[in-house]
Amino acid sequence: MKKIINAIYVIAALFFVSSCVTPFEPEGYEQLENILVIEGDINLAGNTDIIVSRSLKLGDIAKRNYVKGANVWIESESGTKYYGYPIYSGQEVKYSTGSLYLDYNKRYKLCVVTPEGKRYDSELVKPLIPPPVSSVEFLTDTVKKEVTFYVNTADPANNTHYYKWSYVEEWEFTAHRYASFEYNPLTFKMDEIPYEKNKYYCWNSDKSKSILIHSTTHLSEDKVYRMPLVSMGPLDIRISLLYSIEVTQQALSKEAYLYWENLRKNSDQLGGIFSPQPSEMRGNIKCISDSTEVVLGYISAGFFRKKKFFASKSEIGLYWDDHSCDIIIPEKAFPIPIPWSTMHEDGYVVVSYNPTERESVWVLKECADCRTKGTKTKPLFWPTDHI
Amino acid sequence: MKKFTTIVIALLFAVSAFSQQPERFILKNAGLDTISVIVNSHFGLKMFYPRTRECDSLKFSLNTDYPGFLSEVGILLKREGYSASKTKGMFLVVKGNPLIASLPEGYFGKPENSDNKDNVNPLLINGESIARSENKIYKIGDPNLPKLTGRSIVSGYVKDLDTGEPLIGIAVFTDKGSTSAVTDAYGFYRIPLPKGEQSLNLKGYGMEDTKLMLDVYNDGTLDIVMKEKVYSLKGVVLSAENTQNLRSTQMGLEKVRIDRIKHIPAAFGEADVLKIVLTLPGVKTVGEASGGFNVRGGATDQNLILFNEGTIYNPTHLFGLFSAFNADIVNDIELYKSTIPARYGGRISSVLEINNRDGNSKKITGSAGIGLLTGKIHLEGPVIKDRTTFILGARTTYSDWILGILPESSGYKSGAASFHDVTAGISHKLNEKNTIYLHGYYSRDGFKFSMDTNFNYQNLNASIKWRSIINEHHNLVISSGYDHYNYRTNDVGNPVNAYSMNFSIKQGFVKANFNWLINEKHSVNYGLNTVFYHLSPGTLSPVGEESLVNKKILPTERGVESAIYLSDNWSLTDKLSLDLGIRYSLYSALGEKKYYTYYPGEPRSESTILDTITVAGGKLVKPELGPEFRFSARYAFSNDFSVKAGFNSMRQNIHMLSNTTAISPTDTWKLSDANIDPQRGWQAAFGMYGNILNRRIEVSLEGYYKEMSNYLDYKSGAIINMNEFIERDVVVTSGRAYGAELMFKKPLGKLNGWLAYTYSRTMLRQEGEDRNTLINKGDWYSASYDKPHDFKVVANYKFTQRFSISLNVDYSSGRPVTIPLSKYYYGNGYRLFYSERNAYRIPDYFRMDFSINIEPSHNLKLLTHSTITLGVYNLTGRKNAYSIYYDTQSGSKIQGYKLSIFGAPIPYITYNIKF
Repeated sequence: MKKIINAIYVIAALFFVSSCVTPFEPEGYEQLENILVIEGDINLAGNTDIIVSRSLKLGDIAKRNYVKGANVWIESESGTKYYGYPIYSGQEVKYSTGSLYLDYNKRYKLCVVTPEGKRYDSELVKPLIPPPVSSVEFLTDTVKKEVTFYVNTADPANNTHYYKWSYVEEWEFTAHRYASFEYNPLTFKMDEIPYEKNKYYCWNSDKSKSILIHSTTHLSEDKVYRMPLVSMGPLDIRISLLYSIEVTQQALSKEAYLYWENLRKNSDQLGGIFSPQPSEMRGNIKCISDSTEVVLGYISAGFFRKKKFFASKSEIGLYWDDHSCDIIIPEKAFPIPIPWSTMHEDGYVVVSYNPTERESVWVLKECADCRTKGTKTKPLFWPTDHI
Repeated sequence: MKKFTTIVIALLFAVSAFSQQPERFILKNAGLDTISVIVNSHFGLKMFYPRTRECDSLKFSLNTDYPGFLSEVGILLKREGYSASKTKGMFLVVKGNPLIASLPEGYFGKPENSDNKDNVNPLLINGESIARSENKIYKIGDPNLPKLTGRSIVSGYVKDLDTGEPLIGIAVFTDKGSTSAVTDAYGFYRIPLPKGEQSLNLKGYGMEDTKLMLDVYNDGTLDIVMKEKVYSLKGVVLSAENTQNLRSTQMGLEKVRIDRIKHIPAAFGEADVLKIVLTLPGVKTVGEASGGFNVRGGATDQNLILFNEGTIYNPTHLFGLFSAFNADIVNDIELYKSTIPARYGGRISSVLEINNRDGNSKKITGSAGIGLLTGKIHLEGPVIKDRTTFILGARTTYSDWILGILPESSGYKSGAASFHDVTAGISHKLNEKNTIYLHGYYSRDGFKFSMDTNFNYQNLNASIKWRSIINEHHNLVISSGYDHYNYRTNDVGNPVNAYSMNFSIKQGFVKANFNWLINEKHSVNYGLNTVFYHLSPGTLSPVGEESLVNKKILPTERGVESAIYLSDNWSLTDKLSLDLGIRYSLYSALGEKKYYTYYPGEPRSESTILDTITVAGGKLVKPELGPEFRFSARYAFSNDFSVKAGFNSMRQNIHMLSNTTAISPTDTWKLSDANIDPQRGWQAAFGMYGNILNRRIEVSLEGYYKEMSNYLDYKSGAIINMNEFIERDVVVTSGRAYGAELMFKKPLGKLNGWLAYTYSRTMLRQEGEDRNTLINKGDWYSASYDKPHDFKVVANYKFTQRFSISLNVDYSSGRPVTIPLSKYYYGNGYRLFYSERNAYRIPDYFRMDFSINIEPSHNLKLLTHSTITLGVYNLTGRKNAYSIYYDTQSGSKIQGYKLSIFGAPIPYITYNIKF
């Protein structure tokens, strides 16, 4: 039904041939900040990371306003506490429990005491065990020129019904041209680049941003078939060489599912007249001393099932290397040769150099230096031998 | 029938309307035709003058008091070489010397406006039952009976001479101003007349004024034909229509004639029945091109839309871009927004009644038109001359080209959007007293978004109506019909989840309505209505072999809604009249039905079920019965100023389930049952009405206060489709609305139209035990259509009969929206924390449209007449905000965006041809 509504909205908009979108800043109202946000689903088998932060104004460029110095623990229904210890990295902080193996027959809650001394408790939640991920696959739509990765799963016990996924994607890619030389602006000389230091192979990674949830309650079997995770077009660098997606699958309670579903609706482009009215739904965390205080977040507990999947450029068969990497030979420039230093300052890098003829080939930096779109940090367990 | 109230009111209160005379007459360049109107209506004299070219070109300007008018006219005429004389009810103008005033009637031939030779001979069909000649005395009743004193009732139909169509809203009144009446929707009038010699005047918008001489012996019938006015009068026009607003007790009634609609500029140039409703004061919409409308703070599902008696559940095509009614077929539109007559019920906000025309009873005619997106055709004519007529109209779209121009990558290139509608009507006159009407309507919208997804909806209505004149005092209309609305969505993109979903609502109705003119003081309207509802709230079915979708059929909902009603229009004095109406309604969901009861005071959920109750087939589930009151009163201080007050209460047993801002095509409906109470509402209103500037302009000021209860809203995370236990997800909401509407209306003349300003507020409040779970913690919040200031202008200026321009101005405060106040990073993405419901407003709305209407051929002798409309929608190109949204995908700074549809001037052209 959501798909239909979206499609209706799109079609309706089509008729409004002169429709246009302009940036808009509403005036005359107070933005809010400092609403407490608690994130961290309790992992029965492994580490649980808990992030405590406060909300920000819309125009703030920061990602999170981290709450440091909080006291965080997981508490079982019998009262056992498992503390989380702060791990700092720059301005960021998360509270990690370290590896835990919790009894899945017990219920758990997450407790946070902020530096101001206010305590926030989640409700006691029952751990849920999802079935393993059956498969991850992709389909290439040659008409729409789009590849979509899907996850499939099924619970033969017919017990799960509400699913949530997240993924970490990693990809290897190359620069358009292999640079075997490098201009040194200090010595004004061309240095040869050894293969170990190549600027040709790079990697990058990202996390799922969308809320990926699905319910099978209307089906006769507890089966998820081709739940779309991510789609990419032919110019997407992620599918230019080797792409990997690691899917994490978790089971949700009905209440948690409704919370995430509401959050998804609120995050989708709202404001159209066919869109539902946004509404705030309370999570399962409360301030002990003031039950009316708004706390954002919903705490679930359970196992996380993971599956990693690789797809190469040739398997996907969609990537189209559309680059405009014209070469410049500064020595042959008309009417006078361009000095190397000028080329360097103009954002060009050298790719090849013939010392005997003192002739060099230059391209724009993004054409020959993959670090403009990624890093040289190779992921663990990466199947290629590139460095 | 629907105008019956008006007739009777007019009849009882016109007594004074023509007895008081204006103090002065000021005329500028007035022709003899104008002067004859004044002589006629203010001096009770029939004016005869030569129909020569010279005479027609005479223009007079004068400024005189009432007694001096005739002599002043005489002096002016004398200067032009004419002489005037007054004798025995006549005012004679001849060239040269005064005439001896004892010539027999009819000596001068057809006296008024007889620019057509055909009119000279009296047109008499069926003996004397159709009156046309102004120079003949029609005898009503049996002349052999001894002449008695007292009154007789004369009734009959008023029809168009050329087309035979009934004429609606024609004022029928006597010279002496003792009584008057107005023809109803069937062109029927009924007027009590003193016995003896009488002259009867007929006036109506766009028709030649007619005067008939009667000799009344007893009760009788008289059908009258009138001729369409071909050119407009210059100078002062005294219109009987202008006084209707003052005479009737009816408040908050907006009538729009279809010719008005055709001159209003519209997007894509499509004359639109519903868009005109939006130009009336007190009517709002959440956004242009959205289907629903809100009347005086009511929700979109609280309007009863009746098309030829049938209920229309989805009145739009293409998501609200066009209305589902063919403007070529529609006769008139009436919107009741305040005093809703007792004969209507079932919705708490307003009644919008749309009626077909009757077909032309003389010859086959039709029209065709093309616009940017639609093509239409209509045909009408007699089947049996003067007895049976038909009218048939069809529209379709060729909008697929818009999808075709999209790039392939949009994924919608293979999409298709189409609609069509067909309207048909037959009327058959059994005899002088009985007429049968048949109506049919079908509309369908279909959308195909891709190979896998499609969606369609249908309206189907059929009805039969019998109208009978029981006797001189009594007539009845009985109608019965079937209404149907359904939609279906198919999504087969994912073989495992492939489904098809259906929703349908069917209803059968019987209505009987009686009008009884008891005497001059009392006119009674009574009758009964029954509607049977049969609603299939949802059927979800798997599609294809692989689909694992469970077939789920929500139990059918049935209900019966019956009401008896009685209203008396009672004129206590000339100045004071009352309309007292009561409607006693019974509603119940019907078995077979199984439902749950819940622990009182607890939120309804699976865990608070108290009991399961099963009701056997045909038994009442939970009868709701009670009275609804419809009162109104009028006090006329003078002919040109009156005040009115009204109170009405309403019930509504069917709810639209929707949590979108506007009507969405996938909204479903739900009948009240044991767990969902009927909606209720009441409204109190007060108004002042006056005529200014020689009755050329009508002014009205109406204020209202309204309350609504049991309106449905939804809990966060509510599931609206395919939810068998919707009572667990709804939150009962109550509302209150108040406002004032000021309107200036100039119905006639070269410049005509209206100007309206409205100030209004609509607030809603959720009711429930746990304040924390309620929208805005259970406090009042603005409804999505709460736009306090609203200013509308609709104007048309006729340069000539062939060429006119129209202007439409619409300004309103921005609608309330819910906006994000804060952002937070959660689940690997930016999420938004929203304000309280509708805490902010989008910028104010302003739009101006302009059109030029050209009718190149206006010769009556031509076989076809064409009209061309050129226009620009949103002339100023203002980028009105349609919606506001926030992009959470691109970066940490959350940017708001404003979407404007029609954000530039949109020119259009349409071509229509009449044959």
